[in-house]
Amino acid sequence: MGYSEIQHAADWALYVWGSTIEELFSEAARGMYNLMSVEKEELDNKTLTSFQSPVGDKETQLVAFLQELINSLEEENMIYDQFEFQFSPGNCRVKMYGHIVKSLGKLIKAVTFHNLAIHHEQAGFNVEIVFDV
Amino acid sequence: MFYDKNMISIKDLKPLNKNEWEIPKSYRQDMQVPVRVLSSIELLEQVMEDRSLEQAVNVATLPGLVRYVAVMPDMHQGYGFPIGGVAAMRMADGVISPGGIGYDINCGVRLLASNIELDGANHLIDSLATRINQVCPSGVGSEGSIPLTGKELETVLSEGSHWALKNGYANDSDLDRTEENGRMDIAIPVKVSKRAKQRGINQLGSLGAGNHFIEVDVVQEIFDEKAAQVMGLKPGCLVLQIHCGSRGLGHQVCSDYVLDFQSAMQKYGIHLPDRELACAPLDSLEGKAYMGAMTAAANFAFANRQVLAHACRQAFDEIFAGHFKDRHLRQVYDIAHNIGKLETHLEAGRAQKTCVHRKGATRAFGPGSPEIPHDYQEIGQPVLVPGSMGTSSWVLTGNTDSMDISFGSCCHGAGRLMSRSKARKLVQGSQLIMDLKGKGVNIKAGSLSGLAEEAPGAYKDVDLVVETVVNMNIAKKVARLVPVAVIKG
Repeated sequence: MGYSEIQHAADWALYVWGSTIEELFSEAARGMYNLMSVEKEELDNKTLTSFQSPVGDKETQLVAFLQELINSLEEENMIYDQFEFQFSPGNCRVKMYGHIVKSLGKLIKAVTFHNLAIHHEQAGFNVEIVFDV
Repeated sequence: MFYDKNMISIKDLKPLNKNEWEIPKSYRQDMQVPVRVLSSIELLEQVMEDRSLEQAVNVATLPGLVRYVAVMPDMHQGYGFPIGGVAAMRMADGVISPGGIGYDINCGVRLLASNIELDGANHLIDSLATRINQVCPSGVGSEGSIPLTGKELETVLSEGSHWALKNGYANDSDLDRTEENGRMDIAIPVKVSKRAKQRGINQLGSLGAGNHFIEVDVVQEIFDEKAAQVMGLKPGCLVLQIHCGSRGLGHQVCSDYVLDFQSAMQKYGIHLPDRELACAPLDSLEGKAYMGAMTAAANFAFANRQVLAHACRQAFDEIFAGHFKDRHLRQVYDIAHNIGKLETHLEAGRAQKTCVHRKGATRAFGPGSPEIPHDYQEIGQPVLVPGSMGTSSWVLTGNTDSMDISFGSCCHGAGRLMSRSKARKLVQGSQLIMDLKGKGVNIKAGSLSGLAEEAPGAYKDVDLVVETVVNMNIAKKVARLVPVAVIKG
């Protein structure tokens, strides 16, 4: 599992991969936080929250999940680093554990659907995600 | 991993003249109309380095397009629509695409002019930049100077700059010299989600980050004395540019509707090569809802730039008090470059009501257009083209030929040439500040890596971009501006 940055003329983009769909979603979150240079406060207790995506395919669920993380960062100054996913047909529920943000480099404005297609291959799952900066 | 090089090559483009090229409809089976590429050969060769033309071809598959998709000379790769893309959709059978307007709804530029001569003000520029930086909140997640109640936000979404006028942040001339008079009256605030309102409620009067800036410039050269006089631009005098948009509120509106329209496309049987182009028919409930929300977000952006202008006026007043009697900043114009507008354009010689999507492109209406202020009827609408940091910016006027060539549209800036990650690797923010200071440009920046991403070398040559639109008769030169101070988040 992992992620790497892709060159993009105007914005940021990631290539993400994972053995399972849960890993893919988690790595996408890690990669996105890494692009934004988010650092967490280490000493505070973990906070639990939960999120349910709108009904849609896996790509829609991924966009909605990542957008939720961006919104939490902007509105509540929270970063989430532990996830428990529950996928059902058309739906994604996730319990998220996180911390207060200590510092932030640059905020991503939005997660786009551009070229977004989750591929399921023998080795696992992969996806390219373009973010609006 | 890198994106593949653009699959389109120059041989796929049919030259129409020195600055116009066409990708014919036959290039790909799913194209509804051709793509009209407005570019010099020099800029076109740069364009081949990214995927902007392929993205333009994707846009050409949308239903209900008029004539062709146009791309401006400052085009570069975006997501969905290329930046610099213009697409006019027939109201009767066309679609509206949030991605074709952008996440930063009504990102745009405002220009204000003064009678303060740089020669007499040079020693105060650093203080001015510091003061502007203090009174115009900028940077990641910046909160605005005016916290709103929920009810007040509803009014801002409905009234735009008119809210600012009623609350003492504007004068009548400001509204007159703003596109749409600072208010899109088809806004429907209730179509803006609760989440979007939460994001925006504390952001009125803030600059944000990224490529947003406030810049103090000097008028270096005048090319059209009459137009410059009408606009109030004087050689050697200071002017001020504000570049920002609708902040988190606009971003959320776009995100909400791109998500919603994923299912709308299935409902209306629309199939597109890129899901970021998600759309709904203009005359559908979904399409009308987005139009209502988008124009409400546009009103927020007009009000945002108005409040920032007010703060800059106060900064000018404070810093130049006792040095200059006339310290006032007069509005020249305020234009949008990420917007959807209801306009009439010709199709096969007949007037057609359309929704024009401009993503990284500005309106450029010529003399006599009823939509432009009375003051500018003789000269045409001001077109504001900011360059990258440290390079020149341009003030142009729109020509009537723009209606035939580009749906009354023009370029919006220099256009990116280099990815942000590459710029960060090649450029040190701290060195850039010193280099620009050496050229007489005072920089106040919240983030050094953010600054590096916006380095002049990351952008195309704005002078070349402007030469192209002028040679095409889309616009005329009025004045060239050069920066003396830049304030960025």
